[in-house]
Amino acid sequence: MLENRVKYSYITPLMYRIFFRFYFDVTRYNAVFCIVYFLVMKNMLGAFLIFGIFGNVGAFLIYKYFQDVEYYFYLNWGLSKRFLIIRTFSINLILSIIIIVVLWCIS
Amino acid sequence: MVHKLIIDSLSHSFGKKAVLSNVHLEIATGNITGILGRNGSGKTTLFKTVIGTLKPSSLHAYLDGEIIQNNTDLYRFIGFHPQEIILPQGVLVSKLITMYILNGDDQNKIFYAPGVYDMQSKRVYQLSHGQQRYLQFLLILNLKHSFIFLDEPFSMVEPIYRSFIKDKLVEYKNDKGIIITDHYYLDILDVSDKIYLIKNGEISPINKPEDLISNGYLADKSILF
Repeated sequence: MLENRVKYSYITPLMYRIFFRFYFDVTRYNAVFCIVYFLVMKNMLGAFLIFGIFGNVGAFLIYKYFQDVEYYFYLNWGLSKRFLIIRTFSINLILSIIIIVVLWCIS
Repeated sequence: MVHKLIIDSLSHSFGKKAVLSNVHLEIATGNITGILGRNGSGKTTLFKTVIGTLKPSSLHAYLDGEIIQNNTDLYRFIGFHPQEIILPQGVLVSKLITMYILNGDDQNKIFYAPGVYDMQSKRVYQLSHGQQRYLQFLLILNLKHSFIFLDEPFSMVEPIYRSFIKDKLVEYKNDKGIIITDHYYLDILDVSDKIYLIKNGEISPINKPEDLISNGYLADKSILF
């Protein structure tokens, strides 16, 4: 019985409703880094590189500083801190790679 | 069906200071277990080591008689209400309830709980600290988990909400195994079926309120009533 309960308690599509709350909370900080970099450097490719990599790191640090305890909100839904960070990082990295490739093809 | 969670040989230390030493605790659905202890005695550490956000020196956990091989999976069976507010601040309360609780009947239990009607159209940050704690308590109590750990649910909550919380605990205890800790010891004594005291890293049962005095948790008998 325990095995079944553990198996069924892994990430389900419904959990993504909760996950995207975290995703948007973190990514808004990342978007600010990305926009500020673009406004200062006038470099769109660099801005999306920031969005995919360094902005994520900064966003997680800001989230940790101001909202660290909110990780428990997600943990109660079975979403560990590791899952939240890896999945957010992956989505932003893939998004930025797609956009960079599109921009590179256009230019 | 009654579910039983057994925490055995739980030890944890911060550096050389042993905070929890060989703790054994059994929690069953249908029971409220109160844990008392002075500041720094290890109440919160006990919760955090069990749900896995702190790594224990040793821990064996059994659920319904079966050993849980990977202790880091324990959080999947336990709803945890920490001392702090964990709710995302910018979300509308009504949206938060429907997002966090899937079942319509369970959502209604929160929407129709005393005091919630006035909160529904507000965002979390617009609520008072006490209202946020009360809402957080209701959300976590209505999760599907069989076991709920409540860390100081009565703290910073006004008396009327404290009585709502006590009523809800009694209402939900048939389906859930609840561990509760707080410095509002009279409320804990009121709702709990079993009481334990953590002292010097060890946990011991309290059979009568006077034991709290003999164990140095309370100064004198007059504050027991």
